[in-house]
Amino acid sequence: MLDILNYSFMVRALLAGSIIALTIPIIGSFLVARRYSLITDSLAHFSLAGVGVGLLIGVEPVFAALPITVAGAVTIEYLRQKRDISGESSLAIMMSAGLAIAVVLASLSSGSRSDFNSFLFGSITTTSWNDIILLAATALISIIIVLFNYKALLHIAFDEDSARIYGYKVNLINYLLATITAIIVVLSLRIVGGLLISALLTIPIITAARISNSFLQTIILAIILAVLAVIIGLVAAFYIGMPAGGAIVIISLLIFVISLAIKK
Amino acid sequence: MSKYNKETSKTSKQLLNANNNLLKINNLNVTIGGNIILRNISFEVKKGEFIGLIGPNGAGKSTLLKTILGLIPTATDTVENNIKNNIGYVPQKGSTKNQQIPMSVAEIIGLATNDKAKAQSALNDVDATNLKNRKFNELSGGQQQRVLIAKSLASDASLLILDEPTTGIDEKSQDIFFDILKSLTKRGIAIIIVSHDVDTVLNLVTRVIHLNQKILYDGPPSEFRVAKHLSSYTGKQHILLQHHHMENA
Repeated sequence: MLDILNYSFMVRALLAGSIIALTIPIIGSFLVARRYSLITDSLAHFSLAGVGVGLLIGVEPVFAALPITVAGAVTIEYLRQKRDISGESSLAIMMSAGLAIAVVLASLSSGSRSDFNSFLFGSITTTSWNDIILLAATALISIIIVLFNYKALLHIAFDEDSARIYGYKVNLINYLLATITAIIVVLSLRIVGGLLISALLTIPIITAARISNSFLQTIILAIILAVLAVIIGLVAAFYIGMPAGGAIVIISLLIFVISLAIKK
Repeated sequence: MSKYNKETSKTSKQLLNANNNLLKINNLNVTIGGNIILRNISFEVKKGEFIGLIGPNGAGKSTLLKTILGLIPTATDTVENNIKNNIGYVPQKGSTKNQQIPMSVAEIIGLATNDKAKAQSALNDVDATNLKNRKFNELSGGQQQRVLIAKSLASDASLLILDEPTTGIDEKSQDIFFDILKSLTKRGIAIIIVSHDVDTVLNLVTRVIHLNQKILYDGPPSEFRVAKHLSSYTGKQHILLQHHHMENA
């Protein structure tokens, strides 16, 4: 197995994947707890529209996707808080809109179709050291923000009204969580792909939640499971020759199925 | 807020302290979407009072609770809250159920305090020490209510608001629950309990507030029973209760 470490692209892939696997459960737990994990899917689709813009105007797709996805996250949260449209409907609208815009823009751009496909399904093996530095820095900042607001986020996950009574600025914290989610989604695009990111977010957390006794335990176990899925998935992809993003998600699913069998 | 207003507010809070008052509602009116939900609501809550808030569906009970809790904004000085951040709220069963991710009882009490001794003592007060490491969503309805009260106690609540706390809880658990509530009022904690189960409330509380947009009755349960009993013969419940309220005011 160790011979894959002789390939620097695999070392970078393992590093980038592990950073994402470490970060996503920390943020994702608070989304799943509020039955809001679909926001990741919507944002991932919306970020593809940003990728389309980047490809069209010749800007690095990730940098074009970042502001567009953050704007999408803020809009989704705004609609949810206004309650004119249900949270579920606003997610569905943003998801369809994002993908439709992405497909149209990608077809108009002169870039090759494989550029767009790499954001759809991920292309972890093309990760550069610059990508890793950017990802690590953003992940670190996101984790610090979440840890700093851990008690407030936990209280909101338990009961939003109760959190308000305790004096937390619930709306502001919800916007903050949506923004961080958007940033992490965009940076994970190239690695696991827009279509698979929500699977990596949801499956390890749901698996961990089935066998944990507390919220903190769930986060820690979900991190371990996500890192495991990334490492096993990448190794399998390398030796069997299949797409890394898909392999990572399939391993996550296998672990989930095993957890179902262990604890019925 | 002007300096004058601040001073006025301070004076009224000092008065609240002097009278053992935790909360004072002054002529509260709430209109939502053009519909009047609450009209001319005024009452005070003193230390150790056990109040039953009753009324039909749509009477404005939840709106009143949300106003007291600060979840619905009101005109300045309508709600004089002497115990800011010290109101404990136990929501209707269901609002905290079916969690996707488990939370332990210790984690839930930890939301209210970082002090482990205080958390332990709060659990002890509601006879729930043995539940500390259990998952909240695997507890029975009665156990969940006790944990939520412990959460309030851990944050030094001097007023507890319980919204339909006995829904779906068996009689034996209800009795344990009510004994705990009574012991809390003896310690000076005020309780407002909202319930559809009027008979249970009347046997439990020391004061009844009958609400239907406005306060129809505010007084001891014994007199409310008489008023209710008489009304079944005269059919003049509304007038009688209003009259009683005016006498009380």
